[in-house]
Amino acid sequence: MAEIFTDEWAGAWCRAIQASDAYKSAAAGWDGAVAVVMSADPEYGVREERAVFLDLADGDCRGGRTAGTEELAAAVFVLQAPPAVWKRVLGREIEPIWGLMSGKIALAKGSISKLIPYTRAAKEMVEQAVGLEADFPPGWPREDDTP
Amino acid sequence: MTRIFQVTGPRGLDHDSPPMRLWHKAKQRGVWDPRSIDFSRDREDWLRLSDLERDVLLRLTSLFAAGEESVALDLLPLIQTIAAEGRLEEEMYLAAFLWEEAKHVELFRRFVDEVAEEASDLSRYHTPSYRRVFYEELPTALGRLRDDPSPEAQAAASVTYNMIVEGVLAETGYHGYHQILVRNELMPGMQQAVAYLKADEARHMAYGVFLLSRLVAEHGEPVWAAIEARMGELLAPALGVIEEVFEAYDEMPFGLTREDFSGFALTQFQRRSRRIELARGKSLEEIAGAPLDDDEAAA
Repeated sequence: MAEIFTDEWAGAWCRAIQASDAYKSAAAGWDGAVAVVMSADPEYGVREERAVFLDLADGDCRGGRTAGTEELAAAVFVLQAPPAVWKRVLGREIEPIWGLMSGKIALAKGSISKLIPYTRAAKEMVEQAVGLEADFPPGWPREDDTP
Repeated sequence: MTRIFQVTGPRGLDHDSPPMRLWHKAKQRGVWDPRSIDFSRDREDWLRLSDLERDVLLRLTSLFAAGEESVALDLLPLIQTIAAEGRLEEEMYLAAFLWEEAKHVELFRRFVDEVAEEASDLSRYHTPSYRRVFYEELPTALGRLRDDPSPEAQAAASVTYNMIVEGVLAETGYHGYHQILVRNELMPGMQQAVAYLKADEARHMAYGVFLLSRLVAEHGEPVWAAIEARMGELLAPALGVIEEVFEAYDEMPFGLTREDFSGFALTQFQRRSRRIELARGKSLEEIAGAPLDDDEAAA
């Protein structure tokens, strides 16, 4: 099992997106890579910021990996949130679109108006991450001790 | 059960409470008459528009008109719930709230009859997302209060009505519509009417934010969880309503862009969501004594 926001996890996420018919139909016409950033929070065992990059185009995912400067520059949308928020998203406690609209997930790059036509695609994209079996950083709170 | 009247007791009316502040504003600023709007120049402007421009305005009018009818029809269960809890000040404001919704219905029908002179069935403009929100989610969420007036059900109803229908859709739609008219120097009667609508809606939103904040302060995390869940359910179809307007046209007239709607919607939505979330852990006294927010100031 891959740890979240690592190279291996990003690859698995991308393959899950590729295999999703729901994503394919929702994301037809979508052309733009996405970077997803988890900011550092030692209380969650995340000592440094982590970022992954999904090369998305017209209902397909052409590759997933960790994101460096180059990938962050290439991404059309950059979504950023602290581990506490990603934990809730991955635990299906908050819908990604609510996270974005409420500002819990920051749209660090890109325009919300360009995302609106693809809200269903964004939901399906996150749904594929939710469905992955994954490891969490040492120190990641369990369900009963979330700060 | 012996009825105890608040207004003849020592408590009287709390004129400083948020709903009474809105009530006093509504009496002064909400008294415009849809029949007094002068649509004569609007009709002249309408006749000069292209078919495409008329179709876009008729589409927006159809969405606004049915939306206003829907909120007028569906508000009563919330008023009954608030009244049953003995919240006199809130019920007084909600009486003005419902009266204003009825005037909005009248205004848009007047526009259809006297400016567009349109007799066909405009529900052809109601797209799948619109139908989900206005034909299903809104009546269901408000109707549920008849059998389940729990704080969680009230929160779900208020999120649906105030935050989604009025906040994301009506207020954003009126903002974009007003921009079209002002930017293109069109239909001065409707410009004036939409300015009135926006002020009315600002009061409605201020009440909605107050109601949700009060429910969160009073009942805590179960209500906040209900709010988050309802937002998660409805934001996608609400944004779908906006998107489906744009999908219907190859080219939008009036220089209308998605940004006219979405940027404004996002800013307003984030501000209100934060204010409601801040109610977690606050006392009822703190909610009642909170200073004017932007909505109340704009009302």
